[in-house]
Amino acid sequence: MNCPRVCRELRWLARFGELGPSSEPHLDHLADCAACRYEVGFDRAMVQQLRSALALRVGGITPSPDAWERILRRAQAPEPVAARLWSRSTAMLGRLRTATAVAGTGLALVLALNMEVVPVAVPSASDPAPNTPTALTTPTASFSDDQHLLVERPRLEPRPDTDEELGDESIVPEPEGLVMQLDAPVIARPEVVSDVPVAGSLVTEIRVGFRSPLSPESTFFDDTPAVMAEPIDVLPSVPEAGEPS
Amino acid sequence: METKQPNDLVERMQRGDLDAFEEFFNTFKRPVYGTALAITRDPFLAEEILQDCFVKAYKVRERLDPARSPLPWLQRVTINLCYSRVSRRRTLAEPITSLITNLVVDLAARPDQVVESREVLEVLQRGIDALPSKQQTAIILYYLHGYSLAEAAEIANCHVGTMKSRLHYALKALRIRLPVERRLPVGAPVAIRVHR
Repeated sequence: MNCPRVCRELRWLARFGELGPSSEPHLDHLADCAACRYEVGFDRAMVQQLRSALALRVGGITPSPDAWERILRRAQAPEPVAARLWSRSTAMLGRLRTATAVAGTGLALVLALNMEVVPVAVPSASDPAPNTPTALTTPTASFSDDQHLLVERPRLEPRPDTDEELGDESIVPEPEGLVMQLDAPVIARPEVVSDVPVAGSLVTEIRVGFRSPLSPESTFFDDTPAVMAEPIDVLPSVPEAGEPS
Repeated sequence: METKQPNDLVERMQRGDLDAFEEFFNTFKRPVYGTALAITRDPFLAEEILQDCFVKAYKVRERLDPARSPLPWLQRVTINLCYSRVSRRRTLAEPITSLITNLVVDLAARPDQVVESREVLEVLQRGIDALPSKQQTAIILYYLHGYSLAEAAEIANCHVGTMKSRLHYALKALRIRLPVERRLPVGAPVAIRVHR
């Protein structure tokens, strides 16, 4: 017979007092196997020691004689109103457990159905560049609130020397870092950009890139003639009074 | 092991008879206190739990079934109170138990046996404390109170098979804690390391 298996079964049967006529093969094995006899004997001895250890935990210690008096006093004391309300409400909630579960599920469903999932499109290389007229006039979800500003301004024509040459490759997103692109035309003050040769009041198109501080250096403005390498102040899109729109 | 109760004890209690409540307390205080003491190992905490348990029994006496013994219910309430208190305080009265252990060991036995017995009891006490609460409850109900598997399972609110399994794993965990030389079966191969 398989000694470890028999030994395990024997111990299990002996622990719960289930050794009987049906376990005769096990007992036959026990008569022949000293190792199994030791194991079962050890188990029995350990259980005896366990009973002693448990009896020691409670042996000779009884509740104090005035325990009954205290219990009676507490049992007859009027229950505070808050505690009574709390126990009643918890009992009622316990009875209405199913109803609570159904109501919770219903509420979760209502919330889930009213949720709007907004897809976030990542621009791919085949998409038109954002500085082309199509991209400027096409409303997008993220800039829809600013479309009234675009309507008030003359449409900008693409510059043949830059936009057509650069085409789709004008913006090459860096693999790392966060780059945000502002597609709306913005106005720069002449005095701020005084080192750039411009005529009259300055209305130009500027693409502003916000880069992550982790990015080593800015290369976003390098190939755009209308934009200087120096940092500039960018005013809000809404023109102030007296300034050209 | 069912503690005997007068037939109409719960019914009389439900009618507001305080003598019946006192009788109820005297009938069931010992097993309830024993469970509380075995789990907490703190006589003061065990008495607090005893009081809480019987006060609760009095307050919900209308819901007790007169046809059934209230002892399983009382034991279940006691066990729940014990573990909520112990987890809050986590202070086990080690010195008291050690003192009792030292006093109770049979001094007529041989000194080496006394030492060994103390050592084993100490290991077992620590082992019982380290058991998960469900296994600890199973050990106390089955081996201390001597409830049958079915009764212990009813108190612990589980199946008989689950109770067996908890007892099995508890004994296994205790066995592992015992000294190694007492765990080796006869004839088992022993690895001997030779130092040169």
